[in-house]
Amino acid sequence: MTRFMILRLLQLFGVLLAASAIVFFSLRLGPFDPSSQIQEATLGDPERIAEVRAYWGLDQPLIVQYGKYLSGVLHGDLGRSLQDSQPVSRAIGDRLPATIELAVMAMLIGTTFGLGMGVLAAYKQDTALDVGGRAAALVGISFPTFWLGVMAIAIFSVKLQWLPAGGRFSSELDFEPTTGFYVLDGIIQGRLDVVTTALKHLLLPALVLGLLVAGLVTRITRAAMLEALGKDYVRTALAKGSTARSAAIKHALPNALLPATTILGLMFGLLLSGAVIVETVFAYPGMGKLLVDAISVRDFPQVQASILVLATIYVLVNAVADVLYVVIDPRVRLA
Amino acid sequence: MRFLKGRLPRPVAHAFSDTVTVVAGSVVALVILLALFAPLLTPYDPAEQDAVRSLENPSWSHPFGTDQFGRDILTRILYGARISLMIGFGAVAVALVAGLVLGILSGYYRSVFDVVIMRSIDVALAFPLIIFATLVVVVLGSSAVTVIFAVGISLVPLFTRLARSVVLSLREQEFFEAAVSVGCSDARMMRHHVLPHVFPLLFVQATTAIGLAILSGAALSFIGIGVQPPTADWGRMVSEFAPLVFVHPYLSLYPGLAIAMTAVACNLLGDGLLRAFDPTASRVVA
Amino acid sequence: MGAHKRKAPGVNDGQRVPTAPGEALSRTDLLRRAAVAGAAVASTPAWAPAALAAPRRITASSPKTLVVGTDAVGIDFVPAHSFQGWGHTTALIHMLEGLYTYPDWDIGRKVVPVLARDFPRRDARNKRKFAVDLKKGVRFHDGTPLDAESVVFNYMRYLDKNHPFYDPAAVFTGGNILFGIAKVEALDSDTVVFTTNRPLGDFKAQLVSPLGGGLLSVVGIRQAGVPNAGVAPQGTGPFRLVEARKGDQIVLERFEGYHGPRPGVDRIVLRAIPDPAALTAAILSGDVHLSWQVSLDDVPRFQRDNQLTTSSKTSLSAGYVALNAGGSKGVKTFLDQRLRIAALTALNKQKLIQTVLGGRAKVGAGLVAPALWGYQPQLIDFHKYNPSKARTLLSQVGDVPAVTLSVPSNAHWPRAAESVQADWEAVGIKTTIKVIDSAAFGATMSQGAHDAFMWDATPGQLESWSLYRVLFGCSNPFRFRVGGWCDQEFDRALLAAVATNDRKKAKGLIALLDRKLLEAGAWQANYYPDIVSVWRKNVSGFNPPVLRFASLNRVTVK
Repeated sequence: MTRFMILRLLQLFGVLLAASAIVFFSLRLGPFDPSSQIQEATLGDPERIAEVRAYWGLDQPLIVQYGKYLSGVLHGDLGRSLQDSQPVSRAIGDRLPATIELAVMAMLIGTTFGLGMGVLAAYKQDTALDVGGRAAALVGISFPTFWLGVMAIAIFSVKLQWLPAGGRFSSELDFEPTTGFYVLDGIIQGRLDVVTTALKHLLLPALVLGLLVAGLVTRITRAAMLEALGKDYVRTALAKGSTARSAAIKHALPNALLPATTILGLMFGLLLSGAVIVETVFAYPGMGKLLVDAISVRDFPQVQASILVLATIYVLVNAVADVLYVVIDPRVRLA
Repeated sequence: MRFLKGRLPRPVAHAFSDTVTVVAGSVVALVILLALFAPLLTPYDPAEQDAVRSLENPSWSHPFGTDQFGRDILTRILYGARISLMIGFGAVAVALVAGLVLGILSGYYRSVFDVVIMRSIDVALAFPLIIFATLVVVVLGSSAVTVIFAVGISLVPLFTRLARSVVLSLREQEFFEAAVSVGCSDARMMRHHVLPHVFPLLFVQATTAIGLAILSGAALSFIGIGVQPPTADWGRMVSEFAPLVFVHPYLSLYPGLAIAMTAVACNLLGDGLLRAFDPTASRVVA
Repeated sequence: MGAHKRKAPGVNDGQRVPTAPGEALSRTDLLRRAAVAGAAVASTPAWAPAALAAPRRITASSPKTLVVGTDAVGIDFVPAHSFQGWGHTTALIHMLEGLYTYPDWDIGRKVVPVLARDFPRRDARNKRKFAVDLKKGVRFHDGTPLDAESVVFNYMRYLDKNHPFYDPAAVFTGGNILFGIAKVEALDSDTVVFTTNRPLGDFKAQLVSPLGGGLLSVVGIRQAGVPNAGVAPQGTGPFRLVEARKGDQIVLERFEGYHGPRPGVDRIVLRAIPDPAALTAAILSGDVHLSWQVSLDDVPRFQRDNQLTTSSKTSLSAGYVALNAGGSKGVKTFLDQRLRIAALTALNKQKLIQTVLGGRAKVGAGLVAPALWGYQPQLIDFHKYNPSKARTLLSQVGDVPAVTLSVPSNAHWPRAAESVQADWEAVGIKTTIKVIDSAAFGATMSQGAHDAFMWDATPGQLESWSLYRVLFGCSNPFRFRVGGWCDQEFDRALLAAVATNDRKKAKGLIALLDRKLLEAGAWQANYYPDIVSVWRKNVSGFNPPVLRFASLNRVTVK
């Protein structure tokens, strides 16, 4: 087991290294370097531009720049943003909890609905509930997230005025975050108003994101439940006198919940992707938007650090999912 | 096994399923036909502007109304199908071929190939699609080709893993060992024993993947990565209409539903094919 | 498929699995334990009795907060650093002050001293030196006093490479706030002397700019060090920084020790909402009190809402088209002047304004917008829309080349390009649109390898001649945006306009500059877009700006 984990860790490291190299070089292969902004401000003064480029180390050969970057990372220095000279970790520290909160919320909503729906749909196969569940799942995976977001704002924020139109928090409340996870902070600080406000702002974007997750999980769980329900051991339990329901719950259900873990990693990747769209539409200050904005102004250090952080999280989530799967289902280990 | 009352009679349920697949297939075929024959179906040019007719409500001459430039929206939806399908089929074709090759190499030869390919897949997966596409645009510029490339790459892991898992399970089979012991060459093995089993499964998966590719392509053009104006494109139309949602709320319904309906049809078709292909296997391959 | 599926060895169909010794947990057990643990976490914790206390609400005595919707905010408040958004600039003008300003940033009024006591005094013996006396008794937010040394420190660290706190990341310096200024020195503790290196007509106007002009506490800079000087800015303005989150929001609170009149609110929140639909939604739902960066498309919606007031003013920006008239980088497309005039004449400005800006713009004249004194009303619609005239010119040209029109990827630019493309195609100029990433757009166009492009220009420095100085000139690297086109008479006129104090004379010179550009067909202002401000009825005292940042000092919220 430990050998497996160590091997996995090494592979993780390799993946991160490769990812950072790809980002580093592809950014610099583009036709422009970040001094384009500086060009504007200095009115094309070549001396000034050369000075600024030297200050940021942009005039050195690519390999040297990459080497410096790597050694910096290993020392914990992720670099400074070209836009405001601040350590890139500061912006990441502000925005990462926001995206994690959103992703967790979306996962919670998505998996709860998905598992529930999938199990029920399989249990009551071919009834209206089943068809309805499958239709809802189909909507989840087929309707474009960006469009759903726009419609959600128009209906729930503007027309019905039930929920806020965007952002993460209300500017009218006096609040100092502790961890950066607003819902958690509200609980820690014992402030119900903070918790409700944070949840209200999270609800729409998490719903829109979670719809995709729900769709995927419903389909997989339903299929797995159907398969489990058809197995010999269930028939045996029934023959022995179990009720239908208890047979389903005791024997079929645990097996049905398993396959959802196999796509945990995939879903997380989709969530990160969807987060960019959702964060744009809802003006939610998260990592996705930070990253896309940084790319568009060629803020290299910000982009590199942000992708590194996201990739690390993604890789960790996958590793945890793999381990979870092995722990929960020892069959996999033997295969 | 069935447990409860209240379900639909079995034959009806099955007919429903089958009907759904047939309908889905027809919708996909319809979209393809509409895209191919768009110029014959509409008298308008998708790029023809008419400032006087800006943002008109639906009428007999303009069933979906007009956009800010006075261009007929229905026409642009029809022509937009071309771009969406091009991206959908293009990306999936790229991913299918790449996934087939990589998956078979990985599963058949194992050892170094397997490790390298699987790790590369991991690296590819570490990049969310939008981020990867944005980086690609930085290097290659924004166009349909860029989108096909980016979306295609994002789908390669899916097909590679699928192909690989099929090959791996094939290796366990008796006929496989038998063929090897008889002295079948690698090329022959591939042609007669591996491909015939891998390809159909990938093909079925491809149908669903086309829906996914169309969605991804639309998301990318929504944020500005894709074909250039004035080419009609569904995702771009949604992003153009979205800011108007407070004055003209129904405009984005047209391209939005077009995307959704096409994706739904592809998914249902893919499901149906999977069921027809292997009735016992209701597992969803990820 | 047909192949016989054999179960892999060791598969067990879901019975209690054979586990290693010591591991007695079955799957069901695991799940049950997880459920119990989850329930424990979710239940009300014993340590939060305060959760049941009354939530904090805004009452009459709590701070009055104004929430403003803006485009972008950053976290670095050194005023000469890279532009971080108009929301960010708005924060800057409330925290930092310079020597002079427009009252309430209303450029229709005359420049007044704010940290200076009076207008600059020109040295009788040396015409290049100006002395400025400072206002007494002004303190920075950290309590340190404002003196001549503060001014010298702030500005010289932008200019002097050998200054101990020299700031290499300061970009808005020589081109803007310190244009033409060679040295800044302290004469005594209250007086600063500026030495210029070129004739400058209206010197005090030179020092009015939020980009570079604001003063920071010297003690603060020394303590923070050069890279972090902008993180906790100590200015002299009516508001101080509470928090700043990049791309999210900036929170300001009233500074008690301010030397000027008390502002109307106690707290300002500048929220960054770049997506126009999200901003509109926030305004409609009341999350945001006020914004002047709203999408022009949504104006009818705002006007329908009786909780909102809408105001439209012509902004200072000029939406323009530039042609590669000089043939730089071997681009021959627009070398023929007749072709250029034909293209400009075929461009339907009214249609552009109607379809892309919802009719909210004025047709263009010269580079200077209506609100500035250099505006040339006699040049409005210089190249009137006339497709038949365009076609005649084109027939004279003979072989009409295909044209690529470049635009940035953001805002309405791709749509604007579509409108122009349709116009040009209609007269027989085959046009392709090229959309370029907005961050790299300026630098790309400065290469001079394009045929034509569209963009807008907003003066950073409010003297009417400033944009000409930025964009054109025979030794100006940015002249390649018009393909390297330049003209000696143009350059002489520009120099004279910069040097003179006589507004009337300057205006005449600017007319000459505009005519040169228009007659050569190198550059044309198509329109001046409106800037629309929207605010809730419970907000009063707001003066809608024509700039992209605004003063909020007189605003109150009921």
